[in-house]
Amino acid sequence: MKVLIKQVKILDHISDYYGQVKDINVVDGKITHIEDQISAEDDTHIIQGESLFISSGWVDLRADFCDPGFEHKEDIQSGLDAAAAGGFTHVHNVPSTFPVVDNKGHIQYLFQQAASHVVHLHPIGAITKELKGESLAELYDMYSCGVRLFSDDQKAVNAGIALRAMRYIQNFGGRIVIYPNDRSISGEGMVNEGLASTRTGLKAMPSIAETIQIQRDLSLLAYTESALHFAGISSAESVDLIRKAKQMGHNVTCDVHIDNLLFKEENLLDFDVNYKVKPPLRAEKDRDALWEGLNDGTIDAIVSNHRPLDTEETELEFDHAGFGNIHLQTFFSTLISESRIELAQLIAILSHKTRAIAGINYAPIAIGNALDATVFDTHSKWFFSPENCLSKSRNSPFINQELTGKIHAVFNRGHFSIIP
Amino acid sequence: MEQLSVGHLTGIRDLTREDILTIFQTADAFKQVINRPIKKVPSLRDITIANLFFENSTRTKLSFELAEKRLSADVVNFSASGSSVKKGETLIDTVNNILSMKVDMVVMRHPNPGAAQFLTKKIKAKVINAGDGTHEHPTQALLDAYSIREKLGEVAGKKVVIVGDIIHSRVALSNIYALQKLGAEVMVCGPTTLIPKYIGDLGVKVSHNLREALEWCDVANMLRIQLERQDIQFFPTLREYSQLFGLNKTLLDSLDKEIVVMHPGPINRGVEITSDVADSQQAIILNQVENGVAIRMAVIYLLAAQIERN
Repeated sequence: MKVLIKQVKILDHISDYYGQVKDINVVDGKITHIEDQISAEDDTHIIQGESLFISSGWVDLRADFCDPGFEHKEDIQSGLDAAAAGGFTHVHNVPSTFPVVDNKGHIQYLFQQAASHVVHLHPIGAITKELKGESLAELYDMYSCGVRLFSDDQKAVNAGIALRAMRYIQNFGGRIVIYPNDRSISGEGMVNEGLASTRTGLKAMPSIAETIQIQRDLSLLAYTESALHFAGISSAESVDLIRKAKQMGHNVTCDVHIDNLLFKEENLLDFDVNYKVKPPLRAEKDRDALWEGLNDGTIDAIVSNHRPLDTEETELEFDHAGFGNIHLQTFFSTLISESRIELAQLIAILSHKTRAIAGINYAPIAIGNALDATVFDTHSKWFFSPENCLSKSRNSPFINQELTGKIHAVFNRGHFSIIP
Repeated sequence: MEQLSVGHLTGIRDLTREDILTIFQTADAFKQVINRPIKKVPSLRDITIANLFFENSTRTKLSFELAEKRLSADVVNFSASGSSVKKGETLIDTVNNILSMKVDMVVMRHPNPGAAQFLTKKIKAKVINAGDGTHEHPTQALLDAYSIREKLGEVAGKKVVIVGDIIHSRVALSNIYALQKLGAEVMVCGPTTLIPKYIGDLGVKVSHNLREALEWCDVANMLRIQLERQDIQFFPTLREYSQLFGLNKTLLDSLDKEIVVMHPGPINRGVEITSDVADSQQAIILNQVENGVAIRMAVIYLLAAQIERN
């Protein structure tokens, strides 16, 4: 299979061609030529467009494909299709399926389901068996299959379990991922304590529930000297805490959900369940701090936290609706419209920085190397509709909206996918 | 006749000052009607109203039903308590039933915040929020402000303190919006655990000392302690609550001015206020009840005026 990408600006930071506009010829997934102009052969598929960019393929650290157990909301195929259309070549899948992904057998099932897809699926292994928070799952067995991140997703992990998990992985490697939320404080809360809770009467999930657990887990990290990643930080205080921990040299990384970069608590005043997310949307000052944290490197990754929900979970009162929304397919378009950092920096976060957390190797864009890359532009307009939504669920805040910035193609594992 | 700027009454937040004044003027007329020997007008003979109460209520339901009947509307009642129905199912199912029954207007009380807004997106009928969880209770706030206006001549410039469980109260939020839109100054007073941390952002004063609050105010609205809405413990016992925030006659008489005492009912006598305070000349609790019917007639009448009728 031959593909020629015409006049594309190379935004791969470790490539010798960084910043240059070139033609790139790809045969069977490998780069054969990078030149100013390459003429296409008859059987070559040509990708061309105005102001195209190519970067190392993007990585998402957290998406829920609901498979196995809830395939009516999403399955591996539909989830990966949505990811490819969103420009991702690697996606991490949360273990909170039914059954829970807490052993080698389940990992292998996921790898098999995703084997032939252009997007590489990386299962996140559960820290505890069945996410019950009681006893450690077989972390090494899962690591041996290729798992690098371990998490009980949005379930609670008590300090004792977190401590033992952090120590145990030091025998082999990987990283413990914790969603910081002290449930004794947040309780049944579902919106930010502040404008959202005060004006809607909905139960509050104060940011101190997040920061108090970050403080706890940073203490555990200092004690164990292990590797820790915080999932979905949302408040200004959290950014400060992690910034200081990094300055002290701890092996800590963190990510922010795209929701918390795009939206703020005002979005909740009309009880739209598409904005019911965990962590909750917070105040403008928090959003400012999150962008600043991305800019100065405190925050390492931006994740989709793609959470498909069916109408049984969305067509009801806010209190009873599920948490989450879908973001994979619209991720880049919606992100650049709100982005407060340079494009090159944003792309570096989506590609290299996130790869480093997950331990995903990458060969730079160079002749002879396999291509793992995303081709995109920042100006084309497209309409996101229920008809072209590739996810099985429709719980997106962007349904029926025109978006700007388009993915043209993704390349990975010897495959490629052209995004219409 | 003046029209409301909204198509439904889901909360005071959506109303303009002019809307509130229009409702008051209309209520004035209806208050005369309900004090006549024949307490009924034929205005809504062709209108069908469904009262959907997903949460227990005696007074509000009675008040709405009376208001509807005095306007000659056809009334159907539906009650279901929260515990007997599976979460989420009832509302959407009921919504579909309403659609088939060709109901013109729905009055709904529901335990979940935002339920009334949810309904407006799903059905064509006019929706009146009769209390949605801990969010809003607009007709209560309207009748409270109306009663202040009746007693003191005006709401603008008056100082009103709302005392009690603010965090679980839909009455408090609606009252704050209504009083502020009418130009009153508002303070909330109660135990620190029952006052939202960021309530000050709404432009209200905050006090945790009842005497201090009463000395400041012209009107004290003593809210009912909503034990049923507390999923975790916010104060140790009602006894302690009443020691710190209960209004008794001794305290009332020790103030250097005559303040007006209100209560949305039903009263926990001896908790928020003692019996002698509730029955005193300064209390306008029964006026509130009477005004409730007039205000609800006004709201129903004004929204019904927007319905296309042949």
